Amino acid sequence: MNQAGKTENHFPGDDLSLLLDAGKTKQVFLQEGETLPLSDVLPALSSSDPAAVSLGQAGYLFLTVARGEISFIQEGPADVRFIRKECGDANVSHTKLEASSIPQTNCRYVLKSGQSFLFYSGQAEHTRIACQQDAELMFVSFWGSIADAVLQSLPMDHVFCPDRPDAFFATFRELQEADQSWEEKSLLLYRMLMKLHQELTVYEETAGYPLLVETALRLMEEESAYLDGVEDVADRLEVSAGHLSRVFSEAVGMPPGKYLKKCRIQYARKLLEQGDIPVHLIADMCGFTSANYFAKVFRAEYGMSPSEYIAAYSKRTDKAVPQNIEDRAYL
Amino acid sequence: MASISFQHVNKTYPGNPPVEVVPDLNLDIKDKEFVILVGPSGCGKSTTLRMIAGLEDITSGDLYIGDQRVNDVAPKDRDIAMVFQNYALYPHMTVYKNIAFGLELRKTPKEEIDQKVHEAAKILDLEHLLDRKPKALSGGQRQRVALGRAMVRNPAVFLLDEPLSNLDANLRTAMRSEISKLHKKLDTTFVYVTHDQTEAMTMGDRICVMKDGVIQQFDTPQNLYDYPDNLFVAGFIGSPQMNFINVTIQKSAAGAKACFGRFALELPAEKAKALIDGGYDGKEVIMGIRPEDFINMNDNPKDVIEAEVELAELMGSETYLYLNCEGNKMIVRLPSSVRPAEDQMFQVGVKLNKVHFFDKDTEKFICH
Repeated sequence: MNQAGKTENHFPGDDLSLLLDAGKTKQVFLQEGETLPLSDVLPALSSSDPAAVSLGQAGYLFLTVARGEISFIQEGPADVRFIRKECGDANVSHTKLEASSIPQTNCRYVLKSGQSFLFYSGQAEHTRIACQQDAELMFVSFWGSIADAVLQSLPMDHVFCPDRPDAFFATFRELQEADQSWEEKSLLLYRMLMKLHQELTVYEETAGYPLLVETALRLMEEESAYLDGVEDVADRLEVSAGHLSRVFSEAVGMPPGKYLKKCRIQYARKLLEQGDIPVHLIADMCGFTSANYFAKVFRAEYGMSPSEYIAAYSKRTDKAVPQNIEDRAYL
Repeated sequence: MASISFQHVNKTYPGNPPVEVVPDLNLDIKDKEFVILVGPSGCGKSTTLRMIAGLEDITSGDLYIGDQRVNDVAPKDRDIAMVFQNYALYPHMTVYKNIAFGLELRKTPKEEIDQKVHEAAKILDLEHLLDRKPKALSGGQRQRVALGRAMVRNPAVFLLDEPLSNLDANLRTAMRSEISKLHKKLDTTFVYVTHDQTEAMTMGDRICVMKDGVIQQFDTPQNLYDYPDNLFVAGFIGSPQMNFINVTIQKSAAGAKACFGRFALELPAEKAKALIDGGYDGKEVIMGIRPEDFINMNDNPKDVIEAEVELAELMGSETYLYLNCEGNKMIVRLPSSVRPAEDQMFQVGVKLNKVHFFDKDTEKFICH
């Protein structure tokens, strides 16, 4: 304890105590073609104090591409879930389901210079970065109850572009300076946290994608079973299919036809989890032209047939309560 | 029985801050009634419909269908059927299968499905289209398939969410009467959402006008038209819209006058009394006049105003005049024989027994 009665880096009984050791930074340089598992980066971004960490080892990870281009690839169990519990400062725990019984999935996000990505460090185990053009990456980790309060309601796993990436870079470089006091460092982290909140709150309102893409995403997610392919989506949005495909692929990183199929198959999975609908009717309800085709697409996505999925799912002990799925077929 | 009752229902979406779309809804729909929910975008009409369907959770309050409290009842267990704006037809299924699918999901026997599908197809004139797929159908035909799918369920309540908004004007008019006829034939409760006040006026037994999640007025079409409760309803119902003029009320020997610009219109005794007794002497109020409540000068009207003609729209059977009267923009409907030149001064009579007065602050009606 120092003379003021404070433990080093802590004000006792104060939320600020969790902020003062509440994040770290790391700069990474990658060459084109190089791959970096995120788990390799994590130790440098993690808190040494387990009591201060509420979510995974490094809490929230904020990645900005200062230059170059990368693919941010998440692979692994499709049903990794994070369950929030209000329990003092330990306000988040996460549950991971047994990999052997869970279908695998992968998501790929392309990030270019100036673009950013916010995600949970708990996903790091199944995440890697592939460098497409020589890149400089800036990682910032946040943990603690203040970070939770600020960040947990914000959108994760979406590529967005901060209004002033240079402001982030400047704060990042300041944080990297070795001879700062912990108060100075905390102030910078807090400033960055607030800036992030400001950016992502606006992002939530503006969606981050061009309006056409946002509308297409929403349409496909809500009405995948009732859409007759990309032409139908384009028709509804009053654009040509070619234009939609171009803009959509550029923004989302996958063609709209593929996304539509993904929406259908994800919806089918939720219906299978309801447990009481025959597979051939689920195929119909999700817009597949036949039960055989549905089974083929399902297997390609999840590595098992719909029936095998039902069998594996029924054995799980931590099934979520079935959602009240909006299905117009019942109405 | 399929009455519907909302009792102090609140719908709030979580967020920072939370968004309260329906603060305190109290609405009673009678069994077999055709009720229209109408209002501008974002007024809460679709949310209200979706709460009946069970597609939106109710934050607080109670919703009853018949005698059953349905807050926690799943949509598929509510004995309702819904017709969506975008039809929600499966593109890969035939018309027959689209209509039959809901019954198939409910494990209805095949013979019964077949009988019901053909019955519905006959009523909706779809029999010759049963083997077609939706993309081979017109908009109106697709909408009839959506109706057919709802009909075969034989539900206690039909919910229709802007079902005609994707159709062109002529088809909308034709389908309106089809839906009205269907309601009479099926003798079931219908709840219909639209933003189109013409649709609302022509179809419903009663209309619920909504704004910002609050019911402005719930009444028959004629009552809404003749006796709007407030400025919003007065302006929303009726096409072209009611004209609104700020006037000052002045007590007179005969009762009261409504004054604006150089005009001082002597009001009918009943209206004058209501305004004076209401304490509006010397105060500004809003006078509402429907476009059809003006009189051609050829008919020797008693109360006359003069205005500049900004535009004359010749509609064939009548003329719409866009006037500027002492800075007040007005639309006047007159017989087609009346064709004044633009930018000229024009005199027109006012049916003062038909005008409405609204309080400027509360916007509620003072007298009709």
